[in-house]
Amino acid sequence: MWEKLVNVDRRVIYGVVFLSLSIPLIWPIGFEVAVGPETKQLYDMVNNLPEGSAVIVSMDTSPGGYGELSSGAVALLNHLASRNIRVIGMGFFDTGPSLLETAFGASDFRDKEYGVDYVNLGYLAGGETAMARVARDIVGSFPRDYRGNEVSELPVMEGITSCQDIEMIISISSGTPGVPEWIRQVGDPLGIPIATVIVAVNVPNMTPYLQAGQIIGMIPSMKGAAGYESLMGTAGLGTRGMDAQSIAHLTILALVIIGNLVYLGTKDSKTSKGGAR
Amino acid sequence: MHYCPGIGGISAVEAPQTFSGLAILNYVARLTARFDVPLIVTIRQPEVFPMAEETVRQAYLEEGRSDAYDPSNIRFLSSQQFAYAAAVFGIMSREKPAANLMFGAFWAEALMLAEVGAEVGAMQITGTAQLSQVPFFVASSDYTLIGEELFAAAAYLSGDSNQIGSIVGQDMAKLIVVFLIVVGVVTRSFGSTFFEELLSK
Amino acid sequence: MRQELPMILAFIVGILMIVSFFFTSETLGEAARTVENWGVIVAAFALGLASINLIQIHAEKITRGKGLDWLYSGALLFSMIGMAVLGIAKGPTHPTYQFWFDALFVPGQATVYAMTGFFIASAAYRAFRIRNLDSAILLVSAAILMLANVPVGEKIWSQFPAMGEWLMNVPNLAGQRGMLIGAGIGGIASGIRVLLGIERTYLGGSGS
Repeated sequence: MWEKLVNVDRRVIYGVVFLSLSIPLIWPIGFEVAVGPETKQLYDMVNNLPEGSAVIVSMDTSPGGYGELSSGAVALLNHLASRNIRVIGMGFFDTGPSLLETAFGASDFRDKEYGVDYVNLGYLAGGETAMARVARDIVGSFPRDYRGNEVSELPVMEGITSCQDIEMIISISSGTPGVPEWIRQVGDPLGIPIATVIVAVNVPNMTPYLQAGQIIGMIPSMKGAAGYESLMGTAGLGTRGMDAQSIAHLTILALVIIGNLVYLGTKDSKTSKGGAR
Repeated sequence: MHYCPGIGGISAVEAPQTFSGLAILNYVARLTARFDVPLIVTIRQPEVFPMAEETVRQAYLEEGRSDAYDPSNIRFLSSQQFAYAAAVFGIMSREKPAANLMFGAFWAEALMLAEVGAEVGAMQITGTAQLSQVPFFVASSDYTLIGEELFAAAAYLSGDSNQIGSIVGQDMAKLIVVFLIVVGVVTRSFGSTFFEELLSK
Repeated sequence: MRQELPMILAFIVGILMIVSFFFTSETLGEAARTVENWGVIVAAFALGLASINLIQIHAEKITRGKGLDWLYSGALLFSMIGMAVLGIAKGPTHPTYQFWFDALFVPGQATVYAMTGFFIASAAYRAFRIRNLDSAILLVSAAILMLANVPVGEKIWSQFPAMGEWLMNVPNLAGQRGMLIGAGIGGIASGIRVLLGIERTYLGGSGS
C-alpha cells in the first residue's frame, strides 16, 4: 500500500486540489474573515484623504498576478471612488495599463468621468529608472495618456506636476519593479506614503518595510481583499474566494500529513526488511 | 543538462543575480564541453541572450571543444514570463535532462520549473537571491543556494581573485552592519535616540 | 576598444549617478536627469529589439520547417504581428484589441500562474517530510501559517492567527531583514565590480 501512495500519480493530487477549490466556489460556506491591522491602516488612510486630492495607482503586475490582485484592486478603487479621490493610473509592466483599464471598468470608476475623475497614463519603459523620472516630472514622463489625450490638458491633472503633489502611491504589485522601487525612488526621498495590494508570496518580503513605516498599509492578496470588502460593507470576489482558500489549505495540509505517514511507513518497511537507510 | 541563468535582466536591481548566473554558466559550460554533455540554455530576457551565447561559446573555446559548441542549444524562448515557463516545460518534458540547474533571479515560475524538473527525474541544483522564491526552491530542489550564497558561488567558481576578494569585502561590510545593529539596539534599549537620529540624517 | 569603451561608459555614468545622489548640484542634477531620460529611451528600444529578435528566431524556425515547431512559430508571429498592427492602427483601448487581450492573453497567463497552486500541492506531498529537526520546524511553521491565513484556522483554534502573526513578525522578519541586508550588500559589491571593470560578464565571455 505504501508503494502505491509513494508513486501516486500527480494528477490525483491535482484533481483533489481542483475539487477543494471549486466546490466551495459553487457552494459557498460563508466563513467570516478577520481584518488585518495593515489592511485597516490602509482603509483609515484612504478615509482621511482630503476630497479631490490625487493618488497614483500603479499597476505593477502581469496578467498572471492580476487574477490574485483584482479583488483587492477593485475594492480599493471602489473606496477611492466613494471618497471622490482623483486617481492617476500608470504602469511599469507592459501589460499594466490594459489591466488598469480592466480594473477601472470593474470598479465604481466606470460611472465616473475619464479625464476628470481618473486617468490611465499608460506604460513607461525603464523600471526603476522610469519611476525616478516620474517622481520628479509626471506630465513630462507621460505627454499623452493611454487613450491618446494630451495629459497637460486633462482636468484630472490640474495642480499635478510631480509626485510631490500626490497624497499617496498605491502599487498593485506582483513583482519587480514594484514596492521596493517605489520606496527607493519616491517614498524615502520625497516622503510620499506608499501602500500596496500585494500577492501572498511577497507578503513576508513586505513585513520589514511595513514595520519600518516605509509602507503605510497593505492589502495582502485575497485575504486582505476580503477584509477590505468587509470594511466597505460589501462581499465581492475576495470574500467568496476565502471559502475556497480555506478548504484548499486544509487539503494541502492533509496531503502533507499523508506524505509524512507514507514516508514513515516506507522507512519502517525498509528497516524491517533490513533495507538500506 | 538544462541551465537557466534566471529570468531577470541586466539593468535592474536583479542584475547582480543575472551576472552570477552567467558566471556559473561559464563554469558549467566548460564542464559540459570537457565531458561531452549536451547543454541546453534557455533565456527569457533578450539582452541576456547574446551574453549567454558568448559565455558558452567562450567556454567551449577555452576547453578546445569549439567543434562541440551548438548555438541552437542557447534558446531565447519568450520575454513573457509564463510563455517562457510553458516553453521550458515542453523542453524538459521532451529532452528529459538528467540535471536541471537554475541560478539567478526568478519569480512565480520558479516552483513550476523546479516541479517539472522533479517530474522528469532531473537532479536539481538551484540558487536565487529572490527572497520570495527561496522557499519554493528549497521545497522542490535537491540543493539550493540561498541569497548571497549565489554571489559567493559565482565568485568562487570564476576563480578570479578580485571577485573572491569582493566576497570577503561583503562579509566585512556585513560585520560592520552587525556592529551598527548591536550598537543601535543597546543605545535604544537605554532610551537614547542619538544613534538612530545620526543614521537617519 | 571593443571591451574598453563600454567599461569606460559604464564607469562614467555610474559615478555620475552615485555622486548626484549624494551631492546637491544643479549641473550634476541636470546631467543625472538627462541620463535617466536616456535610460527610459534605451529601455523602450530594448523592447523593440526583443521583438526583432523573436521575429528572427521564429522566422528561421518557419523556413527550416522542422517537425511541428514551425506551426507554433507561425502562430506566435501571426498573433504578435496581428496585435501590434491592431494596437498601432486602432489604439490599445480599441474594443477589438481589448477583447483579444481580455479573452486570450489575460486568461492564458492567469491559467499558467494558477498552476502554481497545483504544483505546490504536489511539491508539498513529495518534499515536506520530517527528516530532521530543521524540516520539522519548516513543516510546523508552514502548517501554522497556512491555518492562520484562512478563516477556518481561527475556527479550529482561536490562537492560530496570533501564532501566525508572531511567526511573521519575529523569526520571518529577522530572516528577511538579514537576507535583505545581505542581498543589498551583494548588490553594492556587484555594482562596484561593474564600475571598476572587474565584472565584465555583461560584455560576454568568462567575466574575468
